[in-house]
Parts: sequence; C-alpha cells; structure tokens
Amino acid sequence: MFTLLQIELHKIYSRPRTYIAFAAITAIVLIFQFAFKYDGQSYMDLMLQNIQDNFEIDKSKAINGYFMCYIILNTLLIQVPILVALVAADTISGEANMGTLRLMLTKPVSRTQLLLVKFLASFIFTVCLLIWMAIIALFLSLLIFGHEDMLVFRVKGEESFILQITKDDIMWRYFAAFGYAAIALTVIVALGMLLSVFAENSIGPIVATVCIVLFFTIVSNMNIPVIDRNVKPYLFTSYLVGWKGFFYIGLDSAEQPIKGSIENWPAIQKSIYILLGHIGFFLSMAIISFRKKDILS
Amino acid sequence: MNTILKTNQLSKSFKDFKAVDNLSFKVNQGDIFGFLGQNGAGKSTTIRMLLSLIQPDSGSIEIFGMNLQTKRNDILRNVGAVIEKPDLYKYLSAYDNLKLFAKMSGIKVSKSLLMDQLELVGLASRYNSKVGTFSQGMKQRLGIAVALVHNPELIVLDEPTNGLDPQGIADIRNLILTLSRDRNKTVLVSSHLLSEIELIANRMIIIHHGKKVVEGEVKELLDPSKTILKIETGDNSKAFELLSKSNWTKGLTITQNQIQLEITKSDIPDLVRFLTAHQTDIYLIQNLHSLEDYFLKLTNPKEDVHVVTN
Amino acid sequence: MLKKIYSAFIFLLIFQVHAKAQANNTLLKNVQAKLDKVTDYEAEGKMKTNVAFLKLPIAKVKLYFKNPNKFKLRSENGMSFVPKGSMSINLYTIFSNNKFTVIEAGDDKIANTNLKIIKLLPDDDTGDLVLTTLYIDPVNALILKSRTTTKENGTYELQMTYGNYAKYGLPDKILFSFNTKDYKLPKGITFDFDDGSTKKSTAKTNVPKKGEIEIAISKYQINKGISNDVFK
Repeated sequence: MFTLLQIELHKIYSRPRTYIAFAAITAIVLIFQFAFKYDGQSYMDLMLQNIQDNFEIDKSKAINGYFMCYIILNTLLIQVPILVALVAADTISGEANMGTLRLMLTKPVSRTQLLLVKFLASFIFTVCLLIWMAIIALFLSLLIFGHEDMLVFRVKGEESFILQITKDDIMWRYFAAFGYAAIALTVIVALGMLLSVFAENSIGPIVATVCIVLFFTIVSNMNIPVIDRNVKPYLFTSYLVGWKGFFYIGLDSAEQPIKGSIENWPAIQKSIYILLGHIGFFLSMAIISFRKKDILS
Repeated sequence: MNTILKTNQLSKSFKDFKAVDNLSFKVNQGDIFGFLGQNGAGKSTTIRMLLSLIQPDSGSIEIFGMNLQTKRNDILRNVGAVIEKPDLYKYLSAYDNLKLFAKMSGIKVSKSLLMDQLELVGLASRYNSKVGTFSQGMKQRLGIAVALVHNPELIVLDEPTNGLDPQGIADIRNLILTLSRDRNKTVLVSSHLLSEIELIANRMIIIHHGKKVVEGEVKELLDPSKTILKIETGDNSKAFELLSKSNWTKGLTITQNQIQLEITKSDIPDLVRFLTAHQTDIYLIQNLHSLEDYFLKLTNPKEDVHVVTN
Repeated sequence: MLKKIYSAFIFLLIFQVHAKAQANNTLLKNVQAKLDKVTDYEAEGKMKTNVAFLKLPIAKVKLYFKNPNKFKLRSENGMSFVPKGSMSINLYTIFSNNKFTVIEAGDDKIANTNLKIIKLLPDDDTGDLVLTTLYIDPVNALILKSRTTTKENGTYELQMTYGNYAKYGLPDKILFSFNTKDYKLPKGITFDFDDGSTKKSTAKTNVPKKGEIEIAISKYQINKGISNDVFK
C-alpha cells in the first residue's frame, strides 16, 4: 500500500499540471497582499462604513496578517476546489485517456486498493496545497502586515456585525480552520474521483466537478429564503465555508467575546459529519463503480 | 503438457452487440499461441477479459490452474501484458516508467534489473529520456520491457506489431521467439495477420464475430494438403449421418442442401467410394479452397466470409 | 500603537464647560475650582463597548489629560474602537468659541443623591449643539451626568461614578451613551457560514440604536507632569 502511494505521489509531483495549483494560489495571494499593502484602507472603509462616524479605528492596524489571511481564505477557498478538481478528477480519467489505466489494472493490485491509494494521494496533494496556503497566506501575511487583533465582519441573518478576536486567540483558530478546509476539500476530491471513474478523458470530469461546485455554491449563496430553508442544507457546498465557524467567537451574556471560545461548535461538528458523510458516499460510489467498470480505453 | 490458460464458454456483450460468444480455448505451457481474427472479431475483448479489465457476462477463466475471478492478484503477479499500443507516462522517463510498473507488480526493484530489461529491448541508452519523446516503436519496446520486468510466466501481447515499421515488426517477432525458446515463457499473441502468426506460433485460434472458428496446431491447420470440401447428394441427411460415423468428421457440417467438411486431398477418392458404396448419389463434389486460403479470407476484413463453425 | 487617537472624548466637554462657560453660576464655579486642582493626569482604564454590531473584548486603555484641553485615550494592547466623539469635538469648538446661557432647571435625584440641574444653551443657534444638561451634585461639586442634544447626531449622555478620586473631580467609571447608525454589510460580500441558527431579526431599521461605552478607570497619577508628545 505504501509503495503504491509512493508511486501515485510520484506521478502527481512529476506532472507540470500539479504546479499550476500552487502557482495559481501563490499568484492570487501575492496580488491580494500587494493590493492591501497599497490600498487596504478603501476595503476597510467599505467594511466599516458609517462605524467610522462614531469610532476612531486604526485601519492600518486592522489590516494585519491575521485579517489578511481571513480575507484571502474567504476568496481563495471558493477557487481552491477548482484546483483540487484539476488533480482529483483527473486521477482515473487521466490515466484512461493516457492509456496507462489498462496497464495499471493488469497489475496485481485490486481496484479498490488502487482507488483508495489514488484518493489518498489526492488528499495529500490537497493538504500540501493547504499547507502552502497557510505558509503564504498566513505566515507571509503576518510577516508583511504584522500581528494584531483581528476583526471578523459577519452577516448573520438580517444582522451585520463585527467581531474582534484578540491576537493571542487566533492562531489555533487558523489551525482548526485549515483542518476543516482539508475535510471540505476532500469532499471535492471524492466527488472528482467519482466523476473521474465514468470518463475516459480528464476534461469532462474536471469541468463537471467544477460546474457542480460552482452551481451549488451559487445556490448556497443566493439568500432566497425558500432556498435557504429547503435546499441549502442539502448542498455540501453550504458546508464548505464552515471553517469560518472557528472565527465566530463565542459571546457572553453581555455580548463580550469569550477568549478561546467558538459560538456554535455543534454546528461545526455537524458540518464536519455531513462533509465526512459526503466523502464516504462519493468514495464508496466511486469504488463500486470502478470495480464494475469494463476498461475499454 | 500443462495447460496454462483455459477459458470455458466465455461470453461478453456490449448492449446489443455480442462481442464474444461462448468462447472456449486453452493455451499450453511453452506455447506461442496465436490469437487470430479480423478487427472487431472479439480478440481485444477476450484478451481484456483474460487480464481482468473486462468482466465476462458468463463463462470462466482459469490461469495457472486458478480461477481469475477469485485469485486475480495471484494470477496477475505472473502475467505480463502489452495491450494494443502501450501507453506510458509521457512525463516520466523510460526508467521511471519501468520502475513504477515493476513496483506495482510487487517485485523488488534494483537498478541493474531495470537496466537489464531496458538493454533487452534496446532502450538502455535512452533510459533517462522522457517517454513523450519516444517513437511508436520505442514505446512498444518499452511496453514489452514493462510486461517482462517482473519475469512473468505468461505474456499476453495484443497486436504488438500494430503501427510498427517492418524492422520493428521483425524485432518484436524475434523477441517473442527468444522469450519462448530461451526463457521458456508462454506467449499469447493476437493479430489480424495470419502471415504473422504463422511465422511464430505453434498453436492458434481463429475467431470470427466473437465465435471460435478453429483451434489447433498451426502446422496441422495450415497443412497445404488439407482442403474444405463441399458435397451435394441425393439424400444429404443420410450422407451426413454416414459421414459422422466415418473418419471424416473434421469440420463436418450440414446446411440445407450441402455438406461441408475438412479433408486431406488424397482422401477424396476414398470418400467418394465410401459414399457410393452406401448407395448415396453424389450430384456435386467441390474442392472449395485450401485451409490457408480459407483462414486468409477469414482474417481479411475485405472478404465477407460465410463461416461455419463446429 | 495607535498613532493618532485623536479622541477628544467627553472629558473635553466637561473641562471646556468649566474653563470657558461663563462662570456666573456658583455651582459651576465650585465644579471648576475642583477640577482646576488637576493640571494633568495619567490613568489606566478598562473599556467595555456595548454596541449591537460590535462584539469587542474589553480593551485595556490609558487615559491622558493635560490642562487646558489636551486629552488622549489610547489602547494598551491590541486594536480598539475608540469612540470618536466627533460630536464632542464639535462641542469643544462650540464651547470654546461660543457663549452660553446658563439656566438652573431644578432638582433631581440619582441613587439618593440630590442633584441640581443646569442647562446650557448656546447663544449661537446655528451650530449643531442644541442643548447640554448637567446634573451636578452640589455637595461634592461633581458632575454626575450630562446630556447633550445635537441637531445632527441625536442625543448622547455621560454618566460618571466617583470614588477614590472624587476630591479631584475625577470619576472611577464613565458611561457614555450615544446613538449609532445602522450597520449593514451587503449580503453575499462575506460568504458567511450559515450554521442554521439564524434567528428572525427583531431589529427594526430606521430606529436609532443606542450604543454604550463604559470605562472603569483606576491608578490615576495626578499632577506628575506629562510630556506633550503623548498627545501627538
């Protein structure tokens, strides 16, 4: 199993395509950092709106490394599924397209094992991608913008508000958030692999995965009450942004943030279970279909 | 002689199309077994079933005395295959490709082993080049190295000479003969060219529309003295009955108004005497063609041959 | 550190009141006399913000004052939303440039303390300031409460509780109430995680919301001298 995993990882990392994801992330993050370094104020003005009439806020302090990472993740975690799909949806179909799949499947390795190994390899790729994101979006941002308390701008139902988390209470939230993101992206990995099993070229499943994710994400964010109640809970994309839950700090009865707390841990927990459920479902479907599949490519 | 591979009434359909129909054959140890048929006759489907790439609808496959369904991994550890054109990882070097598949076959990999294999197929000097830069022939040779690297007992080659130039074809042919002679491997090689099989195989099967036409020793099947005879008699069913009790049962079939059989030319007068001795009126007796002609026609896609299978 | 917290908090209002208002009222004179004892101070405070749309932790702040009108509130650690007191800055300018009519407006009682009510009306009615009401404890010459009404920014209120530093007229606790505008981010801008716990909002728009800031002050260091650099 370990040898197989090594082989799969070797394949992923020998391929130029793999680095597109890293390059794309790096580019987006650097652009963000550059933009905020030079004109973060106007973004803050937009977010703070009329609060500035009543309060003096040091915007240069508000735009700090932690805040930057939040903003970057906010945007990036919508795009990263595409990058993950690029690798995951290619795992089977790409090999079918290249013609290497049939050769691989004449080797004394069971299809289930092969699929699991490929899944694991894609998962490791995803984790590497997240680690890279953590390095440049969090640690590099901290280096450029410094450590400071973080403001979380939040819309909850009809209300908008700002949460302040003290700087000594943030790092663990990022670790948790990246951990959560790993689970969320693994759903994309599993979905990509499932679609990949049915195709004989990689474009189809990649596009299909991306389309499903985009479509669901759009529906998830529509903010139409009927959809919110009846559709949203059933879309896995609604749970992709669950990492933010770690930044929704718990409040005491006086509405003061409680250090080290999370507002709604059960909701995050539930999301994690739902995501794990999706992974399990997609993966088992992929294994069942792959075992039955006649290799005609 | 040990049977290495045996299929029993193998069938596979794709939607309405019956690709393989009740196919039974066997390959003996040390055979170079020719698998012959037109394109679309069901060769590839059969070979993919032998390699567990396609699940048969019915029938069974036994290799090394084990059932492929239940002992897949044990069997495949000892099988090497090149299926159509061997596609490899273009972005990896020849050496890395070989190493990767060797590892997948579950053997201990050493640099000397891999280089030996590359040497065998004449790619040692290009071991570090990316496969993307290889010609079709080089890829084919690397594919064979991949098939051989784990020293399998049975080697399955699906149309290994497709797309190769004459020199490439000759190289592959020599390689197959070497493997059989010097390394005592069993080779199953498919082709749509009788001429090719004739040169290397000791046994062969011909399939047409997914059905077996004939199976046996190449020498015997292609014996120039053998012919296919068409007979019309006053009472065909009586004649058929007589013949089926005689020595001339090979390829014996009866259709509405004729009987057909395989026979050595020198036996024809005896056959005529035998029938007339049994009060059978012979209206027509026709030497259709030699077996070789028949198979040639069978394997030539331009000819539509009416096939009578036994 | 914040470079320019330029908050001329409500203190300014008070000091400006005693400094600039026509001290023809004995009560005001007494208040002023008490405050005049302090030429400067530095103090530590804990600031708690009670604003519906701001969920902020209690901030450690430092307060600096220097006669006649330098004041600074600075956050000690982390970032802080320092009440701007834009209104009080306005007040300060009004107080410094305008004259008031002082009206004694009767008595009141807060927690068993009898209070005198004094209303200050700006002589110039073109400014934003409409009316300031002071609730003064005549026995101790301390301002316990002030309410200021403006044309544009509504009414805001200041309540002070005195303790150890009452003899200097310095409060232990300040409660600043003000009106806030509605804060609403456009939906979708934040891609929020909806955990399904959203309640139906009871908030009505267009109804001015109250905000409160509470500062508990301790460790006054009075008249030790403060460099002007602090206020930069």
